Amino acid sequence: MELLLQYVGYGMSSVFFTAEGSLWLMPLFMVVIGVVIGILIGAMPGMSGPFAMAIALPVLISIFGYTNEALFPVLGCLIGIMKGATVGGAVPAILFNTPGTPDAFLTTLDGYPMAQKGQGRKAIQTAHFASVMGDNFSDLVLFIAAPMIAVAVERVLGLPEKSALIILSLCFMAAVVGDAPIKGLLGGLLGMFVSLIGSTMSGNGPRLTFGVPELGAGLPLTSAILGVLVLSEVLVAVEDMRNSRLKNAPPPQQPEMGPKLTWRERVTMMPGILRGACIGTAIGALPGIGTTTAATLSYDWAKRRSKTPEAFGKGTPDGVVATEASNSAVSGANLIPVMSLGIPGNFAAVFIILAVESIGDFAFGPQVFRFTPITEIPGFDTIMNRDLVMAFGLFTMMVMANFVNWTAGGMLMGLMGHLVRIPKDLMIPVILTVSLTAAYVQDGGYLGLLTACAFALIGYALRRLNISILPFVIGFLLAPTLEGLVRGAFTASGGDPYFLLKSPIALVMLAVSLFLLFRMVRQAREKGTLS
Amino acid sequence: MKRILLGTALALFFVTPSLADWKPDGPIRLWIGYGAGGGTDVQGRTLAKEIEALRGWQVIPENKAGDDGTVMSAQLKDAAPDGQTLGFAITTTYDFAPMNSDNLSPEDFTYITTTAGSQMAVLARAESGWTSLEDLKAAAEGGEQIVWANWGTQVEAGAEIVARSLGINVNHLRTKGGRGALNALVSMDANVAWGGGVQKPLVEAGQLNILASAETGPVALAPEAPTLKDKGIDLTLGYQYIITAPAGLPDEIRDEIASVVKEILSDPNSETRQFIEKQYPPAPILTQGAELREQVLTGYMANEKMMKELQK
Repeated sequence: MELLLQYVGYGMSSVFFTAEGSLWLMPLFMVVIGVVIGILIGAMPGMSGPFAMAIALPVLISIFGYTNEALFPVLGCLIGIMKGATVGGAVPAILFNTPGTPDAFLTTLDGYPMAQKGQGRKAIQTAHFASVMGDNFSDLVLFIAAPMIAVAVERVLGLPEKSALIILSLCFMAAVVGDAPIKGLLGGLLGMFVSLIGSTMSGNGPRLTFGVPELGAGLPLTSAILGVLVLSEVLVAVEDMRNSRLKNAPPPQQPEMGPKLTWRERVTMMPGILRGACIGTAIGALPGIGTTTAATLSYDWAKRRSKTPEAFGKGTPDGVVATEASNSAVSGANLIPVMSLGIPGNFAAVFIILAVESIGDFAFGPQVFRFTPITEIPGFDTIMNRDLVMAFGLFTMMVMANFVNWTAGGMLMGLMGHLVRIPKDLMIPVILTVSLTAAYVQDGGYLGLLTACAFALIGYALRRLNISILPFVIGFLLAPTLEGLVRGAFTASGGDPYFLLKSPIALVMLAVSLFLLFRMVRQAREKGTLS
Repeated sequence: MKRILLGTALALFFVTPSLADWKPDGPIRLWIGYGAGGGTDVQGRTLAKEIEALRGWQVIPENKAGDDGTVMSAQLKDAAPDGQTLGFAITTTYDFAPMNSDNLSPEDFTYITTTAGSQMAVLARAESGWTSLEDLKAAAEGGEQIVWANWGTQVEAGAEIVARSLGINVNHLRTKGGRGALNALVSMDANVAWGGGVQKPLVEAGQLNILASAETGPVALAPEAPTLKDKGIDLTLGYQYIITAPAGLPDEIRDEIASVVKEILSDPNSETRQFIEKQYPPAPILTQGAELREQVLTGYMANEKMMKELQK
């Protein structure tokens, strides 16, 4: 216990002090900047947190560099954006019936009617309160669960089990994401296939490079993900704009804001918030299930448990509480599989992992949560697990971001209604320029640029074919890990061909994966016969 | 006519800059053969900073990681030998890795200088109770399955040589870099691992034991641990961090760059030197020029012999 507190102490101070002991406010500053950007981006229809994170990551790296000292400022900003965006998305949903982020879609059901009834201020404050509370709750769960899961995993899971776990996560993700699981599965497999390029894991030199030595280190990750996620969206948006140019509606009028939310009302919301936060946290801890699922489940549950279910959809604060508490709770819980296993479950987590992999020598995984006794050798060095200090530093920044969300977030959200919304035809060229520059600077010149463009086309095709992009990205990111684990498990077993089937835990996980695959195929068949 | 010739000769003599004062014509690209945050990367980046401070040359580090540095060296080979594209990797990149490639040979490069040497050792978890190779042998003979973590073909071959000399059977686990091997050891995916220097904090914390040194002498962290040679195993796996250029780099440029690095690493206040003293004790290793080329070529032949014997 004392050791735990010592590590928490080191972690907290590592955010505020440099290794030499002087005060260092850069991480705090970057968290504040991140939250503000996140709230603003979240409030812009068509933009989302991951979108901003994708563009911010290369920019941040070019500012702070690759050393260990860069990790906190960069991660602080990314975490701020992630958290700010979940809060900011509610504002346009409530005031103008256009959700800023996809997760805020369900907030329009009750938030917009509230605003129409002249309770706009109350609705926004309800959304803010529920959102921040939900977020705090899931962070608490993360702080406790991630180390415990990591320790358990390190004890119980060997190489074959870890391989099986990744296979299971990928199958699970394909099965739950989007409305056509088979498409999700194909997207994931395509992502895995593309990531085969340039891997040197076989020990016989880089493969599939088509003789281009620059591809020897694999496709540049950041450019690839910028392309598939951001640039493809730009392509789709440009096309949509061309098709709907004539239908340009005048900007909606801002409704009357009305009275403030009282503290008594806040207290009565607490049970609803707790319920929503629990649902959001549970959903968030599983890979691939998004905020929308969490919000839908929570909304349905709140409606069913309510004494006045008929009020839902007509402007009840309970509806706003249910959706906002749960969709915000997803973001913290999403980091549970990331921090304990290194498996990302959504886009925000993908960028946190990308940042950690590009900068310094810190890496997520069970080895982070090793409680090495802290011993000090005078005049030389202090011996401890520095990864663990980093992890607690990360937690500290999440708490800081929550604090900024509480205070500055509330004020910003109040002001947001007055902000003139930036038109899409201005936004898109800016995003395009920044993304392409980022790809060029971060990933070795034209290689980065060409990769980003090629992946933009892949992303465009996936979007137009209604294939969810998440399995593609996660497959792309996890395939090298999976290959390393499978190769390792095979050689460590001494070349046993049944190496994956020798452990009961791995067998169960593989059986569940098979079952999921079987179900996906059956569902697709049923759909086919129905239509 | 004579006057004109003499004049031209004189003019040429004064106009042509002497190569001893070589200066880069624009920025120098320093390609680092390993990923961000590792020992090679940290040295490369601090050194770049210090060269810039000392000479005013702009040095731009860039990571090109993969396959024991050969992803970088395969690109370096085709760069112009003008001193403005340099590679920073380890000697293994040149004296072992080209064996696996049809496109690379140790003759493709100019060897400028080394900076530091490894602290290569055989590691085991302290809780396993093994403190020597004999303990490892006894455990293997007692029926325990030995999994040995490594990060490349050369060290994997080394593990096999040690196992054969001890008369035991080991399974191999390839990981990502030295840090990956340590993680595999600590998270119990492996029970023995190679360590080239990153093991320092874990050995000091008492979590890992050093069973033997794979250098020519004992490693700094465990002066009492025997070398593999002491144990009758004819194997050294130590490597050095090395700066190279494409083949054909003029000797003057090579020597100028080597002397800048030497000047920096000889300064006790140099950040790079301090990092080396801490991570790769006791001090920087500066083998340069012709002597270094000789060392790499001899190493390559020795490694070829080792692999041939292993395949018998």
